[in-house]
Amino acid sequence: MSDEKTIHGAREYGHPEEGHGCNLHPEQGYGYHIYPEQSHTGNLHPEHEHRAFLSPLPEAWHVEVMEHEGAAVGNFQFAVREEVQEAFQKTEQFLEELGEQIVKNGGYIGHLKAVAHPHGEGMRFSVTGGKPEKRELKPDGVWVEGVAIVFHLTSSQLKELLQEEIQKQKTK
Amino acid sequence: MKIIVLGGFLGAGKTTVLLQLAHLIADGDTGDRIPLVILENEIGEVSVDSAMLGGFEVRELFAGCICCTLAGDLNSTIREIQETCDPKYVLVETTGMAQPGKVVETIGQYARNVENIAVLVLADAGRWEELMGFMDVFIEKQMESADCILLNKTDLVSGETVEKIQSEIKNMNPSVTIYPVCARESIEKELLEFLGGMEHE
Repeated sequence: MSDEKTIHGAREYGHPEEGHGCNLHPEQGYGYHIYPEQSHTGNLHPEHEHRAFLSPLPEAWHVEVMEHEGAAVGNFQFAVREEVQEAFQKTEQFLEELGEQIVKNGGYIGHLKAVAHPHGEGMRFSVTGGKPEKRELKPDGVWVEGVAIVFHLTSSQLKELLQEEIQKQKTK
Repeated sequence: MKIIVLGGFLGAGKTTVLLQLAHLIADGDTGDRIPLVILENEIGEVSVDSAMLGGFEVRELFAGCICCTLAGDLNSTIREIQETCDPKYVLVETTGMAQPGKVVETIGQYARNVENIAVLVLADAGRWEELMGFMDVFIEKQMESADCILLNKTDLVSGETVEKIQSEIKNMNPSVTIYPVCARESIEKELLEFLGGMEHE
């Protein structure tokens, strides 16, 4: 019996050991977490929501800030729906422009760092007898996750800058 | 089990050095014990650096700092590593906002059967002057807690500046040994071997 689930039309594939429907734990490779208030794929884990690798790259983006030892810390996640190399370039440009805006607003950059993963890349196999049929799955963009650690700005100032820069990136 | 705590301010090059140390310890190891486990701490909710640690046994602690808000999690993770893997080494990469001295204190207080804990701190030559302008007390504390200091990014400043920074660090921690390096171009094997074997005073 399959442990596939169909939620809002998106199929999510399960952890074999848990049989509850997704493939997104870090130790298993692909996948990322989506915050409950922004997700529309159903709630598979009580403690955090997951989205399947095979579902479309989400439009949702997320910014959350906190303060630690005098630093403003901003976590951000967003998608860049472009060809992978183009998306990497846009991510680089986003970070550069974010840095410029931080400095322009009187902030000091402690560290800006991000990781961008191609989303949806893979190979699909199908067997009905004989040799498996293969079909390449092309990525539909990249998923960017990162953190901005900044001094001399409040967390709400940093949040505003992050939101502005992500919005700007989205409309380019 | 030996523990090496890697400290130093944000962007000083901790992950770059950690990777080189990890390869030195793990590559070619033929013993029965797991050579090392990396304990990665990130102040943010996303572990950006873990993406570079493929192939190693890694434990991650997010959204806080193991020198303060996550001290309890640090203890339980060290205990879990000991009980499940008992590796030869645990490399602990702190956040740039951590005081390594507090991390050592916490581990020393609660961890069992730890042969040795050593503190390696990275100092950023490129941003030294800027950081001393507004984070001097914080940076000084990081330097004071070090058993050994790698003065990194020396390629970004003049020889004269390197000497000046070394002398300032010596004022903060007179007994420490300082090695000027450019970690992104790789650290000499002899120095890495020394770092792997150093002891906490």
